[in-house]
Amino acid sequence: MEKIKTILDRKQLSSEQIRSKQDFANVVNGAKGLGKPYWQTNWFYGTVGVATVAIIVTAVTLSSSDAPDKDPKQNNVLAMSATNDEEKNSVVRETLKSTENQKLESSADSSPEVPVEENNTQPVTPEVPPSVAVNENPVEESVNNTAARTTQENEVEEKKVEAGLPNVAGVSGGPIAFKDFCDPLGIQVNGGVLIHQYTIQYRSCARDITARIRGNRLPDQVCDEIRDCGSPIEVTFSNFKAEDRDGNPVQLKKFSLTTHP
Amino acid sequence: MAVNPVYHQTNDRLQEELGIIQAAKDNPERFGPLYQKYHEQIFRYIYQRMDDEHLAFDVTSQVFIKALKNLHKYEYRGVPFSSWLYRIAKSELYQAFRDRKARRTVSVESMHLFEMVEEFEEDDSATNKKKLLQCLSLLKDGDLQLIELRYFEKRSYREIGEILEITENNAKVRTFRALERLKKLFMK
Repeated sequence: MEKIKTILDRKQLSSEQIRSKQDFANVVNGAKGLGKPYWQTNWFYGTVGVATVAIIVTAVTLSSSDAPDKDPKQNNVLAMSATNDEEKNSVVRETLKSTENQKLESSADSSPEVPVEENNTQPVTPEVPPSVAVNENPVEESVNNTAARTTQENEVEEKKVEAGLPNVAGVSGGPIAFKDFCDPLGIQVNGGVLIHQYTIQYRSCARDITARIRGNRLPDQVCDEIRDCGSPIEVTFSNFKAEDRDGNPVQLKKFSLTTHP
Repeated sequence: MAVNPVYHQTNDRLQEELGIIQAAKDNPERFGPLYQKYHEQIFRYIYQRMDDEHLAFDVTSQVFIKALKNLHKYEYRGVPFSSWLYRIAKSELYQAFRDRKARRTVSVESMHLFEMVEEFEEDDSATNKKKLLQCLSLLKDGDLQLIELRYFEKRSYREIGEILEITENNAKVRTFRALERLKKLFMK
């Protein structure tokens, strides 16, 4: 407020002058038109409510889109959390099995989902081992599925900018000794690139496995399963989520290794 | 000090006024008699504190619009309806000072200055009157308000108490202290 102004002997308005300015109709209309403040109106609460719900839904959608098990095209999905370089917590959970297996399992009246702790010694091997054999041509189906996935991933890969080659124990493709394959350092990339997530694909004991792994290491279950199978297995690593030292995302090429005992 | 006949009313008049208020709560058109009755004194109260005549009329209209809008909240507490209008006017005035950049003004008549200078036991000279005007503009708003209500508008302590929502005695004490502070400024 400005400094107070003083007026000496101001000319007073007469009562007639003041009365001439009376406008009761304006007052009545003004009172009718003077609504509630906007924050007390229904439309305000409605708008705020809808906006809040939209924000929450968007946030949930965005956060869940980062989750690894969202690709509905994948028949076999094994979602895992492996030991991360930064986070030592590790949880492994098996979420889905193949559509074919589910059908057979339902007919066999068995549960399709079994949560598994990483530290649990329970192998990744499916609970319904002979189920695939019951299928008319399971190998062909699996190969077709794998081929479809590979095609999709190749399309994505073509758009990515090539970065350093990821490797396991220095091997970035072709055959690898089993002891090197299960290297505790996991997948390494030159130049200080950190891998946060990746997808692993392999065919083990007549079963296609696709899993999203958190961290850069190979889960013990995967190593155990491949070792237990005994025969050479081609393992493909793809869909890397990686960052450089500055925290910038880095695109890595997929690579395949063939384990031999 | 003379009694303000528009403010001080008999019990019958107060009850009659209350009847109009009750009717106006149901039908705003019935508020007309109260508007006619109090428009002038509310305008003068506002114009006394504002230098812009048109803005004073606007603010006066706003006071009655607010009063009519909030009439359902009004409760009779044994004081004239005008005290409620004055409180709305006070609030609207401060809002006008904030939002419309209106300037706080004190309208003084020479006679009032003469009375005050006499009360300070000083000469009724032009210098002293000018000095008193300057001192008034230096007063805090609360003190200035009390001086205005009591010495320039000639309101009773009871009326001042009802407008400011304080007791009659409190109004008397506060006015006395405000006058003391003004005197202190004047004697410097």
